[in-house]
Amino acid sequence: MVGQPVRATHAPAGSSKGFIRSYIFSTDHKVVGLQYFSLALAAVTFGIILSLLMRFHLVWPNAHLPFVGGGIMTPEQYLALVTMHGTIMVFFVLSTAPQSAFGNYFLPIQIGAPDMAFPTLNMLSFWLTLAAFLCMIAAFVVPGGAPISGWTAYPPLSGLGEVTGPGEGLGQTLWIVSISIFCFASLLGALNFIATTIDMRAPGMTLMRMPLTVWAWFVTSILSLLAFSVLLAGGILLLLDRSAGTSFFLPAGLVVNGDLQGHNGGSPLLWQHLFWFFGHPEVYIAILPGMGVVSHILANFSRKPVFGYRAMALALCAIGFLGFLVWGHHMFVSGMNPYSGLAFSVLTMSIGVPSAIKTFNWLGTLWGGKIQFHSPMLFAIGFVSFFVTGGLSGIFLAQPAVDTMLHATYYVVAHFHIVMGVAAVFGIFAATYYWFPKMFGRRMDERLGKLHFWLTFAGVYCVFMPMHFLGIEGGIRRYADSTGAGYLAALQPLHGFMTITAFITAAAQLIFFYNFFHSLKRGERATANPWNATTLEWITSSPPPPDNFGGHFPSVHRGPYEYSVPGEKEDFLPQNLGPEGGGATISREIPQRVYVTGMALLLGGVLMFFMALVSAYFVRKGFSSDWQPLAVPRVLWLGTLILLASSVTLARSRHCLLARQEEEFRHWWGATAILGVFFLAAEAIAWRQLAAGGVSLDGNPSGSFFYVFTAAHALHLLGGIVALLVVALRPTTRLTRRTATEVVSLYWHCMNALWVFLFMLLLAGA
Amino acid sequence: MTQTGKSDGGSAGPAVLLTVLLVILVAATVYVFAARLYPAPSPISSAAVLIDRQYNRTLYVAGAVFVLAQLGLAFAIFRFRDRGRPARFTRGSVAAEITWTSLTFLTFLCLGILGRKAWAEVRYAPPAPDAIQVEVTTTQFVYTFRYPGADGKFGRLDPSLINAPAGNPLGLDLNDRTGNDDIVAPDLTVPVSRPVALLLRSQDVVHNFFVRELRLQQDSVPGMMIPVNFTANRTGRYEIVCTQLCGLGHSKMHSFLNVVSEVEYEAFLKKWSASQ
Ligand code: HEM
Ligand SMILES: [Cu+2]
Ligand SMILES: [Cu+2]
Repeated sequence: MVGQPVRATHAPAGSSKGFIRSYIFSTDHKVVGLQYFSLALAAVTFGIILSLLMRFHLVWPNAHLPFVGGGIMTPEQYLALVTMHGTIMVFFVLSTAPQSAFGNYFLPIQIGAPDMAFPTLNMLSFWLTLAAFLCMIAAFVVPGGAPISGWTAYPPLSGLGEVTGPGEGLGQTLWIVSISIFCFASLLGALNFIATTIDMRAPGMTLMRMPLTVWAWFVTSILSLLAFSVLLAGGILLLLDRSAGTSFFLPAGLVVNGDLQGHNGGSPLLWQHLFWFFGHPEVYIAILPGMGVVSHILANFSRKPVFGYRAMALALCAIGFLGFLVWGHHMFVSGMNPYSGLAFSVLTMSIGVPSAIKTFNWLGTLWGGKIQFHSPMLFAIGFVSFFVTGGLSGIFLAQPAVDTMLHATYYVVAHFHIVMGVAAVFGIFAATYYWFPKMFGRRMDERLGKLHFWLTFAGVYCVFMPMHFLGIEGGIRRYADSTGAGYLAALQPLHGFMTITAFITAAAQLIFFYNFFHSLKRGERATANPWNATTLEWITSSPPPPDNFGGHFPSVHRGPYEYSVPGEKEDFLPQNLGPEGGGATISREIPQRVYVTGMALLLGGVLMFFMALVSAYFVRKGFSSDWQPLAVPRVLWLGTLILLASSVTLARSRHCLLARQEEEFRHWWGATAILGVFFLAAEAIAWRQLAAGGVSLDGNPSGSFFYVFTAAHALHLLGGIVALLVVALRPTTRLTRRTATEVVSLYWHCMNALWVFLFMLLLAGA
Repeated sequence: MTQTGKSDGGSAGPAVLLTVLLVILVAATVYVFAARLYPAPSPISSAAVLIDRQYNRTLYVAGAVFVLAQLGLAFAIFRFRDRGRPARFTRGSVAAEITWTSLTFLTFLCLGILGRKAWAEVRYAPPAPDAIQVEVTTTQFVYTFRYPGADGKFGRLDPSLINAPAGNPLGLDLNDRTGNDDIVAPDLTVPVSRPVALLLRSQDVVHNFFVRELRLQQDSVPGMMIPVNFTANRTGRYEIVCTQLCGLGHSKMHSFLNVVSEVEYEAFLKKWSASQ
């Protein structure tokens, strides 16, 4: 009875709920996963077309292009392509497919859960991401066109509007708005993933029995939660600089095109710090899920346990942690203090250690195996090869001295494409070939899959290896004119080679698309467990029923990679295989504690967001000469007292609820909401007083920060008031009132504590 | 049912082909580097020589790891392809983990320590007292170089006075006497083997100052004055390029570093001070 498929006991989702609820606004994590997958597929197609246009232009700059208005591509059009290609690939492909698409689909199944912890929130994350994508694409069609400041959007180039170049008007604004929406959606998604992993695991699914894919998605979600909230904070400040006239990132005395700009004292490096504090974890957000998938697949097709499972899980955590300490390696030549450069260099080198552990253990997994070369396995092996190649060029860039000659050259382009772009894309391909039978109940064509692999593996090395040589010779990235510097003409043949191989490699992707869509309809039918694999996604039908297990929920009795265990009849032991042979089945419901976990995580994200603002405050205050202290209006003392009182009334209210004093509970609960409103009123008075006193948002930075802090906090408090009202007025269904009040109280108290902190900060700055 | 799926997954074909591809990759890469097909231009300062040395050290280490890892991968794939025999069961080995973790750690540590000197040489060392001062101003999409003139002092700048068409691209304040003898030039001309202390500033967006023969790259950031030092020890004309995305003219933004003899340098100063 080992691994026998559990038949779907439910009718297909479509029949009862109607098409719209089942496939469009569905809360089923599998549908949401497929929606993310479709979005990523559309985005990657678009991104590849943009890159081919760039490659074409670099070699035939004077050719007439059909897509380009005016025929011959202008430098600003080229830079718009660079910007949009990079942005789309990083955000809408690499942060979307490996994590949001496959993670959504398989994380709940692999831990034996019926769905994500917060299905509706999950759906919302997807729709926000789609909105962000449309907003980004819209930048192409607005006046001025798409932004030209790269995916890193360094101010002042990105902060001053049209004066700095075409595309820096509305196009750049749309870019920032899109990214901010994306950040928000990713925060919600990450929170959901973490809460699911913590609270929804099947009985017996201990942390050290989780598949490495789950470990990878889990660590990635933590990175997303902490990194995207920082980018969100940075994006808001940049937007204010652009449209409200503040000077967070814009220094005084800027003269663009002969025009003196009216900003004062801001720090362009502050943006770079905020951006890369997000940006480096971001590259791990792109690659960690791939690492998980590759470990998973290597074990399956070597028919061996993952070599050093524990070390692999710990290495994921170590990479995730260290990933937050190394952002400065993008800034060695930025004007940052050289001693910090040294520190960042040491930390960066230390990240090589867990990376090396991963590589060695992958080799160890293959070693002594019984390797079966199905297409997912080939792509997983390809991933290892690219990860080695790309990781090694990183050792050069991690040393500030060596980086001084390689920074901003094609060497960097080669490095990040191989280690993050290509490796992650190979992870996506491996996952697609591997899980296609599970997702669609049919198999992809093996021969086309292999052909796709050979062409892509060879092609990608041909496209990106020569970029190293170009960089060593001083070839500069983001150059619309590949012969812009005199010495570059000699390197033109390299460009020609890369362009031709890029077109061939891109064409090879058509094989994949054909195979994918053809197999959806015509592929050979798949059994429940076509790869003879061990993890829980393979004990259910292909595709899985709406609740994933058809009402027969597994409990887990062993680790995830029990392949070729000596003395066993089969060479794989499913995780649910118990001492008595079969997997036990019990029903699963969503435990109430997920709401508390979810709220704690949300608060983590909010806290990170405010910490980013606060560190911006310290930097801006500490490193500029234009700071004038601000007299904090007295009425805010009153507001603070009101807020503290509201914490007391809320605690009282909770107490009454637990003592079953319904009437008192309602009174105190309502009182809390009213005190919250009073606080907001006090804040409004404070704003009016300040405004009357001439303190404006676009004036001295002390004022700008005052408004930003108070407004951001007020918005969060407003959310708290709404939550209080919702709990009071609406009988809750899935979550009990007890939990609801607990969750809202947690939020409310934390917002009040946050206020006290911000208020002291503002007072100290006075 | 110990055997998986159809035979296509286990055949020798893919194993051989993948092994061959990996060997070609290694051979081609080693060949390009060993034959020095794409060398960096020869260095013109002692700091650049230090950087090259560190680069080469890293190349040897990374190259060795590259060859071993890719060939190891190729070997494993070929040797352990499915030949009908069961896999050798193991969950890992703590001894192996500890060995390779500490080996990697030590390698990186050594590289890091060796590399510090080159960085220190370029970035920490204060400029020599007799260094030639030059202020570099970047604007979309030109470089402007200013020498302090005979008094050794730069005159005051005022952004509101900037007027490039009228011949005052830097906004020199003509009421400030120390500025009267300042020399402003579109190229950077320095005497050979004399230390030069640059001061980088930017008027509009972030730009960069990159001379590949010096192995020197530094952003110029508006609102900051960033010092960098170098001593060029070979005469010649070298290209200065901007490597920081600065707008639509980014790929057109360049200038030249002229390293000349003392005599030519004096002539240069005379010529430009006369013209201003
Ligand atoms: C057909 C495959 C691809 C080709 C031919 C290609 C080509 C290029 C080119 C020519 C550039 C501009 C380099 C410059 O001037 O600085 C670029 C930049 C970039 N690419 Fe790709 N690319 C490909 C796939 C990818 C993928 C899969 C990713 C996902 C990570 C990616 C991420 C980026 C990023 C982040 C940049 C930097 C953008 C910036 O500087 O703002 N690319 N690529
Ligand atoms: Cu990084
Ligand atoms: Cu520039």
